[in-house]
Amino acid sequence: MRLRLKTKSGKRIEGSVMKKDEQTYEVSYAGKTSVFKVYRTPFGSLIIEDENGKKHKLSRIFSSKYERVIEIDDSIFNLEIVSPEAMGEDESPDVALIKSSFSGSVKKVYVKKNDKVQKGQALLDLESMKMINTIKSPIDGIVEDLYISEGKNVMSGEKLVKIKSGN
Amino acid sequence: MSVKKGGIKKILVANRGEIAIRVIRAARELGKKVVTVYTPQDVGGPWRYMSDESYEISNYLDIDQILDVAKKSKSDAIHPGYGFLSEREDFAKACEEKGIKFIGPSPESLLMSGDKAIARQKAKEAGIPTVPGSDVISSPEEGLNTARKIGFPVLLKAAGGGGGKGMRPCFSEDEFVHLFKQASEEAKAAFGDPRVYLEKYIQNPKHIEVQVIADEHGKYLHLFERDCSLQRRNQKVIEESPSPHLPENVRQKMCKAAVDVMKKINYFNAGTVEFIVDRDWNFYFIEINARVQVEHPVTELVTGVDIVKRQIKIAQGEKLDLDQEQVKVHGHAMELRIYAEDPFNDFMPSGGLVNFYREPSLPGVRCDGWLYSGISVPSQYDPLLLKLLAKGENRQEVITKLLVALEELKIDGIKNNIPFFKFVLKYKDFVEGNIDTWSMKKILEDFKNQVVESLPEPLLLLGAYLSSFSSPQQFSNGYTDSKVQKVWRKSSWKFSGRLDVRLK
Repeated sequence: MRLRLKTKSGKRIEGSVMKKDEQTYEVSYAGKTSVFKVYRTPFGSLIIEDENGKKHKLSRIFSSKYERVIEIDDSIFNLEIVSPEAMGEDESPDVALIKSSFSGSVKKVYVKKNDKVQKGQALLDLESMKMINTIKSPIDGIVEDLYISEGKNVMSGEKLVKIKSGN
Repeated sequence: MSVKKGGIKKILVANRGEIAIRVIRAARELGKKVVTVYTPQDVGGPWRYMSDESYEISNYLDIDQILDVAKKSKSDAIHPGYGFLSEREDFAKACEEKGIKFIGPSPESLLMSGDKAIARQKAKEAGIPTVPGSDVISSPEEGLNTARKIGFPVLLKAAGGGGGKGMRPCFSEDEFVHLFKQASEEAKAAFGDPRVYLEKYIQNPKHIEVQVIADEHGKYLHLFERDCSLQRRNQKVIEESPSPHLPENVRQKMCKAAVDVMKKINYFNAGTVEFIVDRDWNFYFIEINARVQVEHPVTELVTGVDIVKRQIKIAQGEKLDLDQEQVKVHGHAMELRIYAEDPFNDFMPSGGLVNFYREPSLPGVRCDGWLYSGISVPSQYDPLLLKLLAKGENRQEVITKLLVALEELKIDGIKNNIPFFKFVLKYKDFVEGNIDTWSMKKILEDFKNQVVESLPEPLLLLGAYLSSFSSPQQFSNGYTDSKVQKVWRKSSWKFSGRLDVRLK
């Protein structure tokens, strides 16, 4: 299985994972293949043993179509799953693609397509567990795309608004 | 109203989540029958199965529906828990009118404690200093004028309840109107009451509160203090007792002040008096929480007094068989509020499916929660999942115990703030007990800037693969998501094998 990940700091990791048997997994990355052994524990975590016999504890905190939050040993990793068609989509310097950073529902939308917006202007309100969070435009520009409407439920990592920079 | 001879027979718990379970446990210990309610979103709520009867309602704030359940189930008392209807005077009154004992203070006391202006007046009469503030504000314009008079920064607070909901600090005039509207909307969603008021925002204060219990015969006791200074957006995160470094003479003065103000409003049952304390240990009355509080177990652990059981006993007219001199603090206790919040993304709350859940168990550790493997945490309600508590001989032992407990605790499926606690419990200022309600900002910055040791990329790829939902392999516990859901929905197995009744 081919995987494209993006870390919190923006680093991209692309590689593939192949399951050989119940306990053996082959990971290909940067032209090199490594073999790992995976053991299940009854405590909600996995033990991963690398080729040198070093063991790591893996716990899952969250997993969705868009992201994975995992704990390896004592470090937490927030990994975004990058789909092939999304590669480069949010890379362009004159486009701001705003994604939801949590699951919730769209309470209010203040803008519509082709609206001119200023940096800091409220675009929409998201509600989750009675908390209202206002999403603001990070740049001056024009609303190129609105992926949501009032009342829609959104998942963490889902696209909300695309702003094209300009005045 | 007074309860018939022989005491309360059947208690309706008008709440959800961990506090519903806490009340069920106390009631069962006292040999009472228990009735619970749940909404369609809470269809998987375990409290349904831990009670003798459970009824579906559409909203925990709907007084008519709850009283209807009380009538149908022939409950003779209602425990409101915290939040929702717990501090609503009209609810307490409506219970009284129907001949149902409200487990809490009288409607008159609720009216006085709930009206922040009256509460402050009573505190002043009792000789306790208060923070400069306003009455309820009726419009943003009026609020802005008042804020100018008090002087920025000011704190917007909900008149209808506490817990940080509807609360916003405001540092300048230009953000006032926006924050006012937000606070008011949030207050309405949380308490059904949009009213807000203003207070002067005291810099770098500690938040220290005193637990009081009083019977209906005029006997008052304090159960010492809790320090709840570690807060994020005015929501408590960690609470402990005793308060680190609090001078003994200040502690005694605060505890006495708390009892004095409660006497002024003829308060009975359990309640808390909140103070903010400045850097010179001057304390100011803020408000009365006329309910059992989220953090009550901290006090239970250090004093050995079961507050919820006491609430029920007081409500059935019993006298407190305990004297002030008998109440002692033993060792130290601390509570971590485990929330469904993402610490790596400004603590945004979100619900979801818990694939796997495991609670820790070691000497002195207590878990007040409501999760199980396979539960779906609804996004409509408060994100509190679990209160993880520890009691030890001293503060350092408690911190160590909590760190060990956090290693055992597993919540797989929803983002939660456990990683943040692992960080805070090792944070120098926290370990030394030097925390005020503003400390969080710095702690969060340092939390964000933690250097994560880089790992070999192949391990991250494998980790992401193995943690995939779409992976045909179950992650670790032998159940795929849909399997767990199916088992729970279809199963006739219940926690206590009791009848589950659906209200028409």
